[in-house]
Amino acid sequence: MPRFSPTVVDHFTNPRNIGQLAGANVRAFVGNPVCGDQILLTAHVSDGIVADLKFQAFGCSASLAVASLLTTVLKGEPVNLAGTLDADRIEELTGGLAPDQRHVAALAADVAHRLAANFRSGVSDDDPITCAS
Amino acid sequence: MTIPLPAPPDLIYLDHAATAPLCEAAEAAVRDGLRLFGNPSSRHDAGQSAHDALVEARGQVAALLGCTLEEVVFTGGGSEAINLALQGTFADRQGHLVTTAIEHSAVLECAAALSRRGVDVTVIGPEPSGHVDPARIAAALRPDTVLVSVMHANNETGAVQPVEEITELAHAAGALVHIDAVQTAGKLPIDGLGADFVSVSAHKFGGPKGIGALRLSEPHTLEPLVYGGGQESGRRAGTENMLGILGMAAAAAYATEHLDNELAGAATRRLRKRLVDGLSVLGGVRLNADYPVVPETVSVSFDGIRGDTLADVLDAQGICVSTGSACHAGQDSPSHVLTAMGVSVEQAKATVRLSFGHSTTTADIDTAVAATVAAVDRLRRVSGTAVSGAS
Repeated sequence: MPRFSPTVVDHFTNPRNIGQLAGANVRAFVGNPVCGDQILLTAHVSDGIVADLKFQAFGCSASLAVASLLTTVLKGEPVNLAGTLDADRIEELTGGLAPDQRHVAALAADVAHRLAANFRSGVSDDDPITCAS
Repeated sequence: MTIPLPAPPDLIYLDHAATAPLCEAAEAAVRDGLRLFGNPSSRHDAGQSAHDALVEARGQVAALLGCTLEEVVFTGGGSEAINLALQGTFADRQGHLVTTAIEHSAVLECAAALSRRGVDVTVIGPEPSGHVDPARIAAALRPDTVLVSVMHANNETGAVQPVEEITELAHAAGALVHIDAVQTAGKLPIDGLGADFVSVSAHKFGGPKGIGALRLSEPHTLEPLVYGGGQESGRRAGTENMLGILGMAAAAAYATEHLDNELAGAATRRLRKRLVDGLSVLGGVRLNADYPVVPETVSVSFDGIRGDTLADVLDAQGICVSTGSACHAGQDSPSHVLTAMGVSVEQAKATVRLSFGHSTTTADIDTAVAATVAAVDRLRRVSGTAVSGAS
């Protein structure tokens, strides 16, 4: 049985929307202190819509995949959608995660929630990603 | 049970240090052995046919090990051979064991178990080069040192250890020596090793899994781990694993022939150079062992990425590499070998091991290099890591 779903493989081998968005007006960063996975989202939100969105991530394959997947889900959607995504929904979008990979769905939900919260509160200075090496 | 289809022919397998593909000769020997159903200990013709095949196989393994037939003890793999050497030595005595921090877990866990039984264990750390300094072994030797156990080459870095010098020092101090040659059998000559015990595992050099051997040099004896019917001259009881032994013997014969082929050796070194040179176009690349190394094993770290992620990306393209020891792959803890060498946790986690073998072609290496360079570059862009300048 493959360790990853086809969707997860697709996203970690061909990640979408890589980088930091120039002129972003919302940033969201989360890191898992246990496994070291980190995701940074930078977005341009206009009229409540995520007009553009990029990510940077450092971590396991599945964490890169969910970060990439998240950008494809949120781009063009109301930023409030980010606040409604939970780990179960993200896992569903990935096509399934193995038990030892499920923490990345929670990480993606956390960064999505933070993006929505930062937009609401006008915060745009989350720390940029600092890779571990 | 559903058995998955064999690996696709275009799979590029660069994880020979974990296990090597079964060589054709071993496959044929195992297939032929299916007809040898007799018990080699039986008196009748069926048993004697199996016995004759066993003797011939023992001779082929003895040739690889450089010993007499009587000095070969077949075991259920490399770990059992190692355990037989260590536990068998200390079964009826206490005393002092010297080993190193870069050993395979079969040695380190066995040493820990012996320590719990009262054996005094000294673990010597490696130099940053990945090699153990014989002077540090010498300094650890004591009048009550019973055994020194050192690996011939490290499974993660490929660093070849100065085992002959260590053997001389240990013998001069009156200690026995065990060499874990699991990673060198079939890659380097092991028939001239002066150690008292040498362990090997068939699946590392083209034989089947679950079969190994310990060279137990005369006149030494060991207390067995398995008691029973007296097989292996009482040193390892149990009806012989004939299919495993026949496969191992065929692989040993193939390996012995390969070791004598200087052209093949030169080709292996060229493949290593091609691999290392190809990867070095990237900046932030570090090789984790200095020479001498077994050419087939390359441990390399790439700044700004995680080794397990790189391995997954390559796997998705049909290229099999490892994050280190296969026994520890999947664990979050960094390699005990690399950290013992002083490599940072971050660099250890940024490491992959590419290990090739006789079946690896130049095209395999070129494809793997191109895929690795592209994957590392992409992963660095994903993590936002800027790395400049080739190493």
